Amino acid sequence: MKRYFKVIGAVVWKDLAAELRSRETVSAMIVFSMLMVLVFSIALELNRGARESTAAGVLWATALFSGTLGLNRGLGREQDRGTLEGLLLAPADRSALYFGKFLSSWVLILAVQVVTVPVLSVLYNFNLAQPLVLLSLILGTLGYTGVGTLLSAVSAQTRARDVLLPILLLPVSVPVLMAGVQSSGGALAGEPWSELMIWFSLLVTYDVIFLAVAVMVFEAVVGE
Amino acid sequence: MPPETTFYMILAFAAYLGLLGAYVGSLFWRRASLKRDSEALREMQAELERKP
Amino acid sequence: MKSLTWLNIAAAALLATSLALVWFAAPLEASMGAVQKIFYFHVAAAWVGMVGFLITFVVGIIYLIRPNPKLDWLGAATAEVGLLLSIITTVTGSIWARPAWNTWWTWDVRLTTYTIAILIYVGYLFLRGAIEDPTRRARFAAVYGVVGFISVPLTFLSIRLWQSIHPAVIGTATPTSQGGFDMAPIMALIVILAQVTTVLVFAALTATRYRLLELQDQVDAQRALALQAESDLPSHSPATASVAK
Repeated sequence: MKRYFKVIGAVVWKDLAAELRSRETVSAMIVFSMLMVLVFSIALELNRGARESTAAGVLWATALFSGTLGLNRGLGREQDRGTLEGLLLAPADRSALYFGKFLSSWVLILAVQVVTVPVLSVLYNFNLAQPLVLLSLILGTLGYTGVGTLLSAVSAQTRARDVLLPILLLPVSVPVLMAGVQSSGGALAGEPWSELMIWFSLLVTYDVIFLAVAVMVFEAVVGE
Repeated sequence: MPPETTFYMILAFAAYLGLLGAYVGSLFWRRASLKRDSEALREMQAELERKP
Repeated sequence: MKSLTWLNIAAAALLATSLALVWFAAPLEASMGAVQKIFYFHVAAAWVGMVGFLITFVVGIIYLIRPNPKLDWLGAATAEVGLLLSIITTVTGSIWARPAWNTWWTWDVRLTTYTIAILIYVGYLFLRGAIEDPTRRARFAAVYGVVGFISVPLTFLSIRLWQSIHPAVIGTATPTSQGGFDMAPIMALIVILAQVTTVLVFAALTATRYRLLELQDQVDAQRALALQAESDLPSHSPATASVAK
């Protein structure tokens, strides 16, 4: 059991150390997020009077789309360099590899939110960094990254991989988007916890179901 | 007196049969092209066996 | 004749019969008029389409435990035919909604869930098309068939919760505008007939698609064999290269 966590730690450490050195994925995700915020501001004519729900929608759309960038890089890079085979040869349970990949992608996606949330708060002139909004972001990106890690392992081994990941991932993530927008939008609008609880329970349900399924089938995706 | 919605009924059935027909057509088309490929490959195989 | 041919003939004949009965024998529904007649097939297509996705899901699980190309063909066939029936469901539903709800589109729970299911299974077909190797294709398709199907009820649930907060149904909320209606005995009979017809049409299309996937597999094997024979031969004929690509 101790070994198992060691393997997870090693995968996460390897990925994050490589990312710290090059910073190429996380910087691309941040730049992309900023561009999306800009595009939304122009397209929806957002201003300081923008409604809470619109801000939550922009926040979530930015998180999901920049997330696919990070997920695409995660296993795509291993595939490019041929290092995936090496990882698979390691005498470790495949689910440890999954959790390692999942955690490193999740950290990247959350790191991008650390930049996006303050920027949106300044632009729309109200504080998005409220505890419930952050909880909603953490829970939502958890499930999203959970499925995303599995599906990026799938799409990385196909011909049309960069295009394929969003096509596979976004329709499956509709419940996360819905629950995420409703919970964070409701929190911004000052709705009571009794109203919001149902959305948070939906987020937790989604997280549990999809992490469990992804772990179970991950072996079929990477193992020959 | 029921409302007059015959136009929408015709539209709906046209869509139903049109989509169904398009799919059946695509099945026929795919079968024909498979048969063609199979035939061409068989001839090729026969030719290759005759040569040596 | 082969049993597949008989199945297809039976499905076509039954479809023609129930279409004729729906058009000429079914009474005109009082509150909606003629457009209600599409409901016999709309409702049947809706649930049979979901059954198609369910079969893909179940077959995908079995494949992941015990791989067998036949399971993959069956899953691919039911996903494709299920997709067709779901598209039929949303398109006919949308046409029905125009006179009944006075709009082509509303973010109704069922319409929206079906639309998202359509996008998931379009993705499933994209995925199949992007992989050459048959065993890898089968494995990945099985994985996505499982993951995609699990998300459908969660999507339904989240849209339903969303709708309960922001009601979007336009027009009246009487049983008729929700698609329910009083049934005369002849109508009940035709309803049952339409369900049976749709199940048979589904079976015929699935069996035909399955047969094509089987044929495809044989042609691929033939092609591999031909390429093998050709590479053994010193001389290259240009005619073969075009077929064998």
